[in-house]
Amino acid sequence: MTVPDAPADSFEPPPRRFSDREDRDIAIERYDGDREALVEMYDAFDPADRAQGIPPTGERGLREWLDAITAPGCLNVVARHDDGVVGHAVLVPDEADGSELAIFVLAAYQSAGIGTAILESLLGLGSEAGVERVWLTVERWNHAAIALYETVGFRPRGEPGFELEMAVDLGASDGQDGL
Amino acid sequence: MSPASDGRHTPAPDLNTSGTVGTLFRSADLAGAMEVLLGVWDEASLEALDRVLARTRTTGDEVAVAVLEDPAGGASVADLERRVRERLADHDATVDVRTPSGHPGSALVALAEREGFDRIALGGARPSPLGKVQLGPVVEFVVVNATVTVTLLR
Repeated sequence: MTVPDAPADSFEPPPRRFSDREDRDIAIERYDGDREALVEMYDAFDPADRAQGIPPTGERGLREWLDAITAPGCLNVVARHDDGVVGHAVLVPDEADGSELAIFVLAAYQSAGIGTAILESLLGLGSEAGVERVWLTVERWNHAAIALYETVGFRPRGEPGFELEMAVDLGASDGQDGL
Repeated sequence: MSPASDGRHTPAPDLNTSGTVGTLFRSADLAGAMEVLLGVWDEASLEALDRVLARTRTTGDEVAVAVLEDPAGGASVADLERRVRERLADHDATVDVRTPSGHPGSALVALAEREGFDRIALGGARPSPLGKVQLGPVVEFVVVNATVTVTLLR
């Protein structure tokens, strides 16, 4: 079993503004409750980029899912470009003391540095909120996603099945000089 | 790496499996009565029992239940078997209950193949906190290794 051996670098919570690799002006912000902007993003989402049954297909399933993952206790970060949401990541508390992470970026905005920026901001927000351990599952063949998660410090954990589980320690209470 | 957690007495995954994953109530090939073997190894997988029994009332399928060891070390086989029998009594159903010992996935696959079941049915796909579908090690092993059709109830 592989356990992250060192806490991830400290990350800055949102907001953040930068130019992506396509020179687009991208703003990373904490989700402000603008549900329709999120629904619009997921309406434009390529079904081929769905993972393990999420986002749910169909308006009703999508809205129920968004209700659940934006409930109090969950942390949400969005990437905006030209006033539209182009990426979204979320931390949902599990039954123990960790949080599960998921991230979705519209196809036209992938491979431009946006995913990394969203993850860094979300982990910063999580760390600030006292989340100590973040985990996710990813399909083993999804090498692009696995590489992205590794960039921000996730490491494989446990026995790989159809999905690979990865985790990162945010080191919120380990006494390190995490600003 | 094998999905089996201990790897001691389990066959290597066979990628040439003829098993398929479907949804019990949607498949068009379900016409006609079949012999169905339902695997139960934990709380979540037990939830499939009611649905399978409800379905047999319309299809005339013959159902058997195999109670298996929980790889996560939860409820004992004896406890699960007692609860399965209670539910069967609630449904007034006469169903064969089996308790093949050993690695849960391989015990279920071996029983189904040895006794000529048409289909293995499995529940136990629990949503993660985020709503992702999570298939545990038993489901993964059976889907990859079974040579009979596998139906996953979600």
